Amino acid sequence: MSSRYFGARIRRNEDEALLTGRATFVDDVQLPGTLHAAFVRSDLAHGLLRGVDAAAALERPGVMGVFTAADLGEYWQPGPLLVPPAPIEGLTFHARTQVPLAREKVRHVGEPIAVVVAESRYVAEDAVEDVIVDLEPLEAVADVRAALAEGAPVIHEDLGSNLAAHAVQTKGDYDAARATADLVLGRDFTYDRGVSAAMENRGVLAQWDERSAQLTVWDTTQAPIPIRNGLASMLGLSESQVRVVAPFIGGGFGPKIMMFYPDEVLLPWISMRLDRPVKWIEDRFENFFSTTQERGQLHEAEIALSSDGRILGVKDVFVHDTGAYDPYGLTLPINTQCTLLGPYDVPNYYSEFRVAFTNRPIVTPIRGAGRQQGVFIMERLLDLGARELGLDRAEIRRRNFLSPDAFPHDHEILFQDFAPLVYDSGDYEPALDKAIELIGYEPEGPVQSEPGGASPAEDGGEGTDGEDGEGSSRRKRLRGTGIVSYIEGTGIGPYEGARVRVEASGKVCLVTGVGTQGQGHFTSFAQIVADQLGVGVTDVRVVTGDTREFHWGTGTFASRGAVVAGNACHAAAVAVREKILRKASEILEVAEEDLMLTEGVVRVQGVPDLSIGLGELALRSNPLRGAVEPGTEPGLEATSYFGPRRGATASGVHAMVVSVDPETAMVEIERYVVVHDCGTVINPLIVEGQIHGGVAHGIGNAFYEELDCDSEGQLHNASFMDYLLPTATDVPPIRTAHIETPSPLNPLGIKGVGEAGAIPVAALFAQAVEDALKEWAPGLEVRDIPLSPNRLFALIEEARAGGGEEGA
Amino acid sequence: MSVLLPASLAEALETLAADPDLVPMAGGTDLLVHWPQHTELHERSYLDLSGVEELRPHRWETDELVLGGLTTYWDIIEDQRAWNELPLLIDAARQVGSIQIQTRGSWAGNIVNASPAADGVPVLMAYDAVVVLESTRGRSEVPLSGFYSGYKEMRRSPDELVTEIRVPRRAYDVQIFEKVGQRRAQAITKVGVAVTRSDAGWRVVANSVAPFVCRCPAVERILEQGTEVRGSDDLLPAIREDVTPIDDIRSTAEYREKVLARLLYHDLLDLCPSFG
Ligand SMILES: Cc1cc2nc3c(=O)[nH]c(=O)nc-3n(C[C@H](O)[C@H](O)[C@H](O)COP(=O)(O)OP(=O)(O)OC[C@H]3O[C@@H](n4cnc5c(N)ncnc54)[C@H](O)[C@@H]3O)c2cc1C
Repeated sequence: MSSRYFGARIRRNEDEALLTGRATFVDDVQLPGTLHAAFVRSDLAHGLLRGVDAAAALERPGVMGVFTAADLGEYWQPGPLLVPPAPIEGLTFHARTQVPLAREKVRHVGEPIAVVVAESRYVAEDAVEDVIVDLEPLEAVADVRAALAEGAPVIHEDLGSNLAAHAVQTKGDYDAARATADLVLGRDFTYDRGVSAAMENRGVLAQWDERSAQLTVWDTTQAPIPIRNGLASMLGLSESQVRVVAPFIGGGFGPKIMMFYPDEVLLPWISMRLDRPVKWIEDRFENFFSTTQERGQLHEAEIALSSDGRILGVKDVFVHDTGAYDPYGLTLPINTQCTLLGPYDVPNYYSEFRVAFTNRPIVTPIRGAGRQQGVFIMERLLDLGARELGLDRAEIRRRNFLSPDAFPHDHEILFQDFAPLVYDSGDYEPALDKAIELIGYEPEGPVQSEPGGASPAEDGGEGTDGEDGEGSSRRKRLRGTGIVSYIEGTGIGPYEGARVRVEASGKVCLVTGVGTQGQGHFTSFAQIVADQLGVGVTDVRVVTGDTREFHWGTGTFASRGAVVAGNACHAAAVAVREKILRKASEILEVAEEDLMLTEGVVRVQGVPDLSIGLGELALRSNPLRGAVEPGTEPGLEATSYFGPRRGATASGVHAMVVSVDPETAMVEIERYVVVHDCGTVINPLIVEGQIHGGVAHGIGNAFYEELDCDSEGQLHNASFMDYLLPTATDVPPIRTAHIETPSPLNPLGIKGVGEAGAIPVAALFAQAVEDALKEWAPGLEVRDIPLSPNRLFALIEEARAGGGEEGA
Repeated sequence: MSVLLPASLAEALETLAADPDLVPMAGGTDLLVHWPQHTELHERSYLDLSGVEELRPHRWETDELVLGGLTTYWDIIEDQRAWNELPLLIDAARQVGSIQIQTRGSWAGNIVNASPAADGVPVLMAYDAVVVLESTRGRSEVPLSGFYSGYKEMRRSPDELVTEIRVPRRAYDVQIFEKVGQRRAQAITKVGVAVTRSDAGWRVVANSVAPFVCRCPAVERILEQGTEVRGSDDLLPAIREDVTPIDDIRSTAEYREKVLARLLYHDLLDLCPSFG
């Protein structure tokens, strides 16, 4: 492969449209005669639905319809189970999937009860207020531990309890390993929920065209093809009658792979009934209830170590909160279970989880998808172990890394894709060394205290320069360093496809079935194809997320777009290259081996005058006269598919320096380093962008973002005023370095990167903050995420008051 | 709902006198944020002051800085004299929201919105600012430190507008403002404090620790009298006399009390011989 673009740090093809505001998002699609939907949602987390009276709403001028579960008739069906559980021995699993509109009962605040459709969103919202809902309150259970307690209110009565699943996966014999250990450490950990907070909320626009009997749906989904397939089947239409378009999307992060959300089911149906386009754009407040969330887990974990810091075994027993329904099966807890093992050699492992229904919004993957929790547990256990054994934190990791010749490494448990958890390739020590070098980590580094910055009163008036958070602080700041490692299973199957076509203009059209939510597909995929076809990267027009353009595929999730669709693009481009050379060799009467493909022209080596442009070749491949001979096809076009046997294992080391104001518990990240291995890198600029975004996401999860939900399932901070996302001032500049261990599982050697940045941040935060406070607040242990300034304050007070409560 | 757009102060005051139920609106950065939650606001009518040009400019008199009823944070940030003479105004202004908010939000709006967490109020109060209220009935002046009487309660009648905020020009040898929020920017204050010392004595003003922004007379007494303070905990009894923090979604009473004591202690350590 001639490599001009692959691996190059080039700017993104899509940025001009995005940055100048010309990219089309769902709400930009304006169709004449569009009606607007608004939802009547439950105020209660748990209640019996006695009745809905829409009479007053229907009388409001401009209201075109109010629909309840009863109005849907046969169309009312619980959503599909998206991922059936992996075939784990002895598994218990109860699927209870979300419904389009609540029928007998509501199970979380914000669950839709009715949908109002009106001439404008204003009228629709006013009419929502007119609808009278008769709800009989039931005792709610919002806490995952309480949900599994004896006598808890049961959310799905037919199950008799709130247990959604139970599974055990083991490797070796943990108890035996424990018996021989020099040190056994156990702790309880919690990881709480947050929202995904995509900049663009969800939205759907459905248009039924009676004349052409065509349904078109614009949807912020990460999975347009499965949405198309599902809608066709639910509505009794041919797949060819349904077109789903996922245009530019302002962030997916996982919740947009969930399906079917009530709006996605209802709007197309309503559009067909009323013969008008219908639009719904989620508002930020709704997003806190109607879009899926993640990460609530409670762990009781234990590590067995030898005196030299080698892991003999790990035991982890946890409860996973799935919210009111569990449409995503066991992907999350299995990811946690598998990712916990990290880059380490863990000879004995016992992992058991229970999944509980709670009266809270539905839980499905968010960027990281259960992996954060696993990494947090393992890294915390290693930190505690290092502390206890008097070992350096980096050293204990180094001693336990899988060695470069251990691959493929079989962990003897099942991964979320049902395949055995086998790491394809990796080399972890160089990443650790590089991170140590970049962050300037000193083993057993002393705590340094630094006087605060200058008084802002003396500041000359230039913009903010970092002192704002703490004003004219004369207080000491304590500095700490953290360094953690992790792996990420990426790029799972089943498959994706791509079609590459050279057009008469000589330019290339590349179509794939995946949708795009900011990952840079318009550039990465173009780079892969441009190299094969000898064209410029801007000459490749990439089309994603439109089911009319490509029929087959699943979607963008699990850090798989570049790995799976990218390799399909590559395969299709290789096939087209072959066609080009074959055709050119016919026309130029030269052997294929003597041809070169550069700058959109096929040339004959050593004969400068003999050449043919790709456009000309494309025309000649689609003649107006003559027949397509048996065994050939018109055009310079090929469609290819790629499905990896199993996922590729990416890895990385994150390190950071924090400074903590011990008096206020405010934390500032001074420096952040990511050394990352996602196999061969298509475009370092895009990879870094993905990592930066991920780290920002992770910083939010680790320290700022917290859903304040009470025991009744009521949320108290459903707004960005009090649900704190990190801002530009809370996210430091990030230095990245790349290590490349190509994946043997795909021809390009790629591993995924979309989620990586977010995964280890909580573990890193915990370690760095503990390091900073090790003398000020001895014994302080971070066991709960999000840490939050308030929680950290309490931990500091506790540690200083009583030498810290020893672990559970 | 209607929005009235007076073109002069006289017209604004007459309109308000005719209908004191009207809600004055300056930058709207508080009013519009509360809008979605407070449905009762939807039924009200509004007096949009944005066309009352005479309320916008601020001016320097011999012995005071006079802010107009529409003067924004940004107006002051752009004024180099304020940086030199009354730097806490700059510190506070730069802490408010973001630049977008600083260019819309007004000092008067901050005062009348009467949030316990307001960031403009503490520094104005620490500078002994006086609120000038006008109505068709006349004009009155109320020291900011005596302006509030309870949560969102203040000495302003519905027909009055804040037309000026008068800030004395004094020589200060101590000027401190600290804001602790949940993150470094765009965060509602969970505890904040402004401290000044001039010929007029010490002023200590705290926010987010009581139903309204208030002076802390007991702490001021400690400073005036030079009472010995050996650590931040020594300030706690005075702080408990002065303020009544609560637990809420942003923080806890304990955090607020303790952190207020620590901010004061560390900021004053080098300045007060009695601190050690
Ligand atoms: C994103 C964001 C961030 C923010 N961050 C901060 C922050 O960090 N710190 C902070 O303190 N505040 C913050 N605020 C709140 C707000 O910006 C300030 O309180 C601002 O000073 C309000 O001024 P305004 O002109 O916009 O007031 P408006 O919203 O127009 O009015 C506020 C109140 O004052 C009354 N009013 C206004 N002008 C007059 C007048 N001349 N006479 C009589 N009554 C009047 C109004 O009737 C209303 O009751 C933030 C707001 C937003 C939206």
